[in-house]
Amino acid sequence: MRVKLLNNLKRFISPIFMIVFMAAFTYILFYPVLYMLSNALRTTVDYIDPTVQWVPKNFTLQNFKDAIVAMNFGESFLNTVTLEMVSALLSVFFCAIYAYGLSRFNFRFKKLLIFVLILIIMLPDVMLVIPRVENFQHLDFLGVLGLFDKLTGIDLRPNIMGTPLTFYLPSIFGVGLKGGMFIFIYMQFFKGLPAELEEAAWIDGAGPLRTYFQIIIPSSTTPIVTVLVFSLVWHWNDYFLALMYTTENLPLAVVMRDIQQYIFLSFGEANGASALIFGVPPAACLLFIAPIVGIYMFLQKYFVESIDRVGIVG
Amino acid sequence: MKTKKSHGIETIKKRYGMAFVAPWVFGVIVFVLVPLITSLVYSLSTVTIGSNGLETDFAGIKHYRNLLFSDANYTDLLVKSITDIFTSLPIIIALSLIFAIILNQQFRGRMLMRAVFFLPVIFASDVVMSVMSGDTSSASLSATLNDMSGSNMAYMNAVDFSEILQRLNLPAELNNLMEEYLQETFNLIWSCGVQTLLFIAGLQTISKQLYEVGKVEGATAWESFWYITIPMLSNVTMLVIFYTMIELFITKGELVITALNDMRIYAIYDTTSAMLWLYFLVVGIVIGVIFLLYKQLIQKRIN
Repeated sequence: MRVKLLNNLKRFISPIFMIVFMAAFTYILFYPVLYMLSNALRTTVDYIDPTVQWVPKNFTLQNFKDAIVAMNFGESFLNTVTLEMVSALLSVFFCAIYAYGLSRFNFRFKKLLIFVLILIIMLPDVMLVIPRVENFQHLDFLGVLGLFDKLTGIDLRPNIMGTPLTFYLPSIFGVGLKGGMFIFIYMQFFKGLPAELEEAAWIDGAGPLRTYFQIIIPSSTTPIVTVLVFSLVWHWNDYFLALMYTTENLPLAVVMRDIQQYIFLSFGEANGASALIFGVPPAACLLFIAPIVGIYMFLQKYFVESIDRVGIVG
Repeated sequence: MKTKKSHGIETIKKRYGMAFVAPWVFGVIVFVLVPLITSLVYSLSTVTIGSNGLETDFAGIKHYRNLLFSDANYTDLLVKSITDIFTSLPIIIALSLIFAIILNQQFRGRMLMRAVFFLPVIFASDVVMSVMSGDTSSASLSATLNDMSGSNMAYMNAVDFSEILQRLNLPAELNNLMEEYLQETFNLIWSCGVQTLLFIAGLQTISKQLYEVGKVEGATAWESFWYITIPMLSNVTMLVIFYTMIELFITKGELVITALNDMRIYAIYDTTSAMLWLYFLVVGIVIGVIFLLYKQLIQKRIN
């Protein structure tokens, strides 16, 4: 009798607990978005009006229009896509190759390389970025071209600062933004693949590249989606490297970070720009996260499913 | 004959493995190792901006000595950065484990809930955070982080704890402490996204048979959590601890951001390099020690 009662109680309580938990959690997570939305839709009058708590009395989309002007949205968006998104995809593609080499083959110095990988994950980008910029100004690989310059006087070192190459090159070599982390995630997954997978392909006479592209990649959608989501999101939000590498083609994240400054730049103090700092930043922020939330919504189905299967666990 | 052939394949495989990794090794040398050495050189010299870019003049360990013995700010910041992690880390680990366990259960709307749950992965970027905390003009994230722990973080204050606590009529000191801790916990929810994800992935790998065996043996839910879930998660937990420490030390570390601003705004390269090198060494030692302790004390005990 008592056990039955307890069981009934359990059956009854756990859904309630679940619902309460979910509701509380959704509230916490959506609170900032709602708050931003509420602020973004207000007119200046509504900010002063103490009776306006959440729902604005005078709806307006003016803040969004102003935000688009202040952020120079079209161009900044394009910069984000051509600089950050492309290098995000390059990272997803190339890190997988290096992780495959590190996890599925045995060779000398492999342990050392994995140790180096962990050190790289721990290294703050700030430490590397100034010397890297120096290097990009006269691109050189291990001083070969510099030596050539000293010997012959012909300077072959190109200045690639200000070109997209500053973003692409590190990504291609797997040392771009969070590249170490991506290699690590891929490695953990590749380690778990059965050895028969490759052996069969080897016996059938497929070369390593063909094995990789036709056998390994098709059976690795899970880590690829995981890395893809992280890579896109982190690159989208990256302002630090962009700030260091470019001064002209600023991506959205950089503009977003100094939005107040841009509001004053485009509207001017005399035109009441100071009144705009209430409504425009939240509007700009919503515009900034909208595309990445869109991408996430599109990928999340695969993403959440893939978490169920990805073996990020050693 | 047979062994000889397989040996041949092994050698070929070795070469292929190296071929796969070679571009990365090249990239590491050119884009990580060389800059790292340059940064070390900066930290050991006086850097001036000349006509041909940066010019260095060897100065020995002057900057390191200054930082450690003359600069009161730096050592404070260093100690604070290290000690802060001991309050945040346990909270993040515990919260994300709880979230992962709940989200891993079978219930209706689980997919939707998980989709909602990973929103912090997107939101918890510096850029969005700084706007949400109403601190758009600040050039540094550290100011934002200070705001976050204070009460003027309008956007994030979904629940105002101070009001609730005041009604409890607790002594003022206890009240403040509780408020601070609750607010901290509350804010840390935003940094649990990736960790929860890792824990869910870990939970998925535990075979259901283990739990069934436990049930047959008469283990309670609590016992099976303690004797099956926790030990089976020990590898993931280590990964989560590692990730969280990197996140707190490197990505959000106050000292790193200070150094960044000094570089960007004041174009000081020598002292900042020394700052970062010292920080990196200390952080590396701390992470290493925590790793070893974890391995020695916890993992051995579990096994």
